[in-house]
Amino acid sequence: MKSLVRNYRFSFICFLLLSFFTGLSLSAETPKRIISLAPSLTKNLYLLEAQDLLVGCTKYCRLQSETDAQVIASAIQVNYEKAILLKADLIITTDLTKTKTIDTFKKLGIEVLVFKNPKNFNEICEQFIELGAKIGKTDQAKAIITQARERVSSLTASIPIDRSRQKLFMQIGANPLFTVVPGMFMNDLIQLSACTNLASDLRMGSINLESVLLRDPEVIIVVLMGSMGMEEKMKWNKFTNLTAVKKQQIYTLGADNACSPTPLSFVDALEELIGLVYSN
Amino acid sequence: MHQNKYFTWILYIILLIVLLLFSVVLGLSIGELNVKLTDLFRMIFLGENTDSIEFTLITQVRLPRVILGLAVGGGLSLAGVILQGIYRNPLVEPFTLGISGGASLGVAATIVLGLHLTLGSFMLPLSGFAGALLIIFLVYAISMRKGVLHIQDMLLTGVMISFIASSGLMFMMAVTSTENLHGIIFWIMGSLDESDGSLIQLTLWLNLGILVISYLFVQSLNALRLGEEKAMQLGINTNVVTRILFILASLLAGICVSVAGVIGFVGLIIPHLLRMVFGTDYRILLISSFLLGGTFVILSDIMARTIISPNELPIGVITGILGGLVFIVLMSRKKTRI
Repeated sequence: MKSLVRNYRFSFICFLLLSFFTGLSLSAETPKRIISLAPSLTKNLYLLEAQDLLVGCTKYCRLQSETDAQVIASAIQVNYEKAILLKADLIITTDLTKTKTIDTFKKLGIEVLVFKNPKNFNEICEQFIELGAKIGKTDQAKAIITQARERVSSLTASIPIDRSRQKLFMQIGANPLFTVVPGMFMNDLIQLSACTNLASDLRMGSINLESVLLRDPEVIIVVLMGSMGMEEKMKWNKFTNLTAVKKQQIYTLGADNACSPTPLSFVDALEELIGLVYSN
Repeated sequence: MHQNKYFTWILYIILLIVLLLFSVVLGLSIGELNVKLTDLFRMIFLGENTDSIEFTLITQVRLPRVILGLAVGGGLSLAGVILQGIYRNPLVEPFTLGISGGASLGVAATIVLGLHLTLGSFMLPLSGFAGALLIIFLVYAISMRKGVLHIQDMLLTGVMISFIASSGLMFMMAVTSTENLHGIIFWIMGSLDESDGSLIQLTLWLNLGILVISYLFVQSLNALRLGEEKAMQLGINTNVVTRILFILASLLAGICVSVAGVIGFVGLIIPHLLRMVFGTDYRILLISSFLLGGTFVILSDIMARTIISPNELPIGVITGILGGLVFIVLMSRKKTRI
């Protein structure tokens, strides 16, 4: 009888140990099928060379090949059925995604990793490393971040030290007029290019035209898609009193890189911005 | 007796013009940088300090907004008073018939397809106007049976088409990117921030033109107050008059919405307010609606750009809140005949 009890106890301990280690190994397992609900996160997966894990994305994600993933969502609506059929084990998204959508996926048993809108370059880097760690590519992610930080350092070092900080207005919306304010990662583009954000005292991005004219920016950067950028540049040129107009320092900056919170896009945008601001 | 009435009307019109001029002066002098009245007059009439930042603000930022506010406010209010006259329904406003829905749909389609990025930003007002025209045509065509325009059918059709347009708009918003969503939502909320001077002038002259033309039908509008049958007995060809007035009012609303977005309540609240003062005679209602509508929108715009300055609110927020509150107060105090 005693030996029977001992055997059961032994079996039970073995079972516990086995399930513990199995469970541990399961939680450490990297995802095999990922759905990305944000274009910037899809871009990050490509940077990490993890496109083979990508099975679903939004209509606005840029795929290198159409066969890389299936479109399962628009900007605001997700096709749950298609998502389930893809048998994803991880969904990566941003805090712009509706809470209901996130809850639904969780109820369906799919892990959801939500990234907050990064507030600065550091947060972009941290989120990139977090994503890398999640998909088992920590070293690769860290290497990319190191490279990006080095580029940022060399770019900021290239700025002429004798130049005073110029007042810069970065326009990201036309009607209504919208600008970059502290708390947006794009504010770091202005800071790192050794300029002062004209809207550094604001908390909301909407700004009236009069305020911009009175604050008299020395540099105006228009970050808008398509022909809108050139149109806005022409509109600013009408205000001949502005220092930016007098100095002919109104430029357009590529929205693709500037508005995308990925480490390499950020550095590319910074390089373009520094090139524009210090071109004279 | 009649002379007294006309004299009172003239006095009221002078008062409304003074009120409008007051709002124009306020609109030109109040903002991020307040300009003294004396400096304002010196700059405008004596041509002093023309190279100053104040002059730039007044002539290139505030004046276009004030002119557009006058044109759009006047136009929407006039459209409202005409439509309420045709339908003999106090709840009808330019946007009830789906004109704003059509314009919004047109603009949303342009934003979603990116036409404003490839062809230029002029595509926004153009597509808005095209959308409004399409809705006007649909409402008109569906309500026309055997050559006769059925007014009440027209109202119902307009409301239904308005719902369809709203659903179409939601569809567009559901399938587009977040950047486009931002553009569509802000366009819907309305803005007088238009930098194209020729477009502003065109809007003003077109709206003033329609105001003049509407006076050709002022007796018909007065007769329609008695009902379609009695108007016909008085020799009014109600079928033709209604068609022309409907097209005029719809064009007015279409022009305003396509340039400034959806600025709600102006076409509803201003005619109501004026009916309480003047009664239902369209000889005074048409011009006074135009003047007070313009004043209301100019003042609302001042609030929109100063209330949380240096940030700016969409003007539709201000007209909606103010208009809604005033409307509730009026409805609870007095009921007026159309």
